[in-house]
Amino acid sequence: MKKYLKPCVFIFSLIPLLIITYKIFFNQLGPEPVKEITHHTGEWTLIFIVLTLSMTPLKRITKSNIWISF
Amino acid sequence: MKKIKYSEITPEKIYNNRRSFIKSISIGASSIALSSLPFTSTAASDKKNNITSYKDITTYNNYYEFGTSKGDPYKNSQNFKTNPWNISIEGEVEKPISLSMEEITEMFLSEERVYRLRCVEGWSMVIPWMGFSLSELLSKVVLTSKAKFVEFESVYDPDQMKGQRYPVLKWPYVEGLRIDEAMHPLTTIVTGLYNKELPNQNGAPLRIFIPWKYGFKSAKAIVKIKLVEKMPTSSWMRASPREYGFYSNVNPNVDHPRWSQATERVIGNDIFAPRVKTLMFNGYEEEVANLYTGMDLKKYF
Repeated sequence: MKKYLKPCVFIFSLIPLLIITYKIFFNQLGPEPVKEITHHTGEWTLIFIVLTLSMTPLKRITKSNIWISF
Repeated sequence: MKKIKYSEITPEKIYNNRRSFIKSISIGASSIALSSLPFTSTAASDKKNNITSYKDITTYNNYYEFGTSKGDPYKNSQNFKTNPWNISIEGEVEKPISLSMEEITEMFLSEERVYRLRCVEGWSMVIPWMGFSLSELLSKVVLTSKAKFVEFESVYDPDQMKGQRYPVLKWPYVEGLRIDEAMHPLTTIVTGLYNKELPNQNGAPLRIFIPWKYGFKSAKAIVKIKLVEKMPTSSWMRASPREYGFYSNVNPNVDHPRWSQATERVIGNDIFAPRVKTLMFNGYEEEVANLYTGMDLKKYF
């Protein structure tokens, strides 16, 4: 189970990159392409920072080591 | 305002195709067979002259009355009331008049006019406006000999226009033209775009559009047209006379103090598309250059 979970997390983490790549190559960025790219990458960076930083508190709250077992 | 469903909007491709079809009729019957095929590629046509999508035209706006971000006008203008609406024509005229929007749409036939809009910030769109020449409207009054300039005044209503609660500019928004510029057939009173009613964020119910000048010269939501003897001071001239002059003709040779005006970013093009060269008088040089013969356009920017 754990063996498959880790690659799955990595693949799901690539979805924002896929979205922005699609937008770049299919002209879906709207009237301000540069702003769209910087905002998209910036927002997802913040989301991932919050996600990673929340692992230790989650471990403490749930008293489970699953959060940091990777 | 009637909300336009996305499904009602003609896809850009069909819209463009319709125009190329009409164009081809004047070129020659032989090309009809080719261009009347649905979805013939428009890739060969000049990217700069492609009509900008309805979505970009109506969501990327400079309209500080509704906020200073490009998306603000769309967000903050949807409940703006444009009915009833009266426009007064006054000042140096024999008899001032006041017209309701209904009277204006009855009196003047709006036609489609596809013009390029060049913003002073360095971007451009191609917009299929609906409208008629300002000179037609001004023919309804008799000008006195003192009518040397035209001043346009936009609506002042901070209750409905939240941007007007901040002193970003001097409200109401004021713009102006020299009388010969105002009488030029390209100077358009706009009542719609994409064959529809003019959306609030684009200056409903009635705005002006001057294709050879930077976009800010084209005042939106006009309530007063005043004929005056002295050159009016526009809101932007008042805010920064060093940066924004009365004429503000599109001119690739006269830079803005803070950036170059030599090129422009075409809205709707993908991120790899290079900026394109800005044309003298925004490409309308042939039509309007004679208005400025002998004038130093660097001095009168």
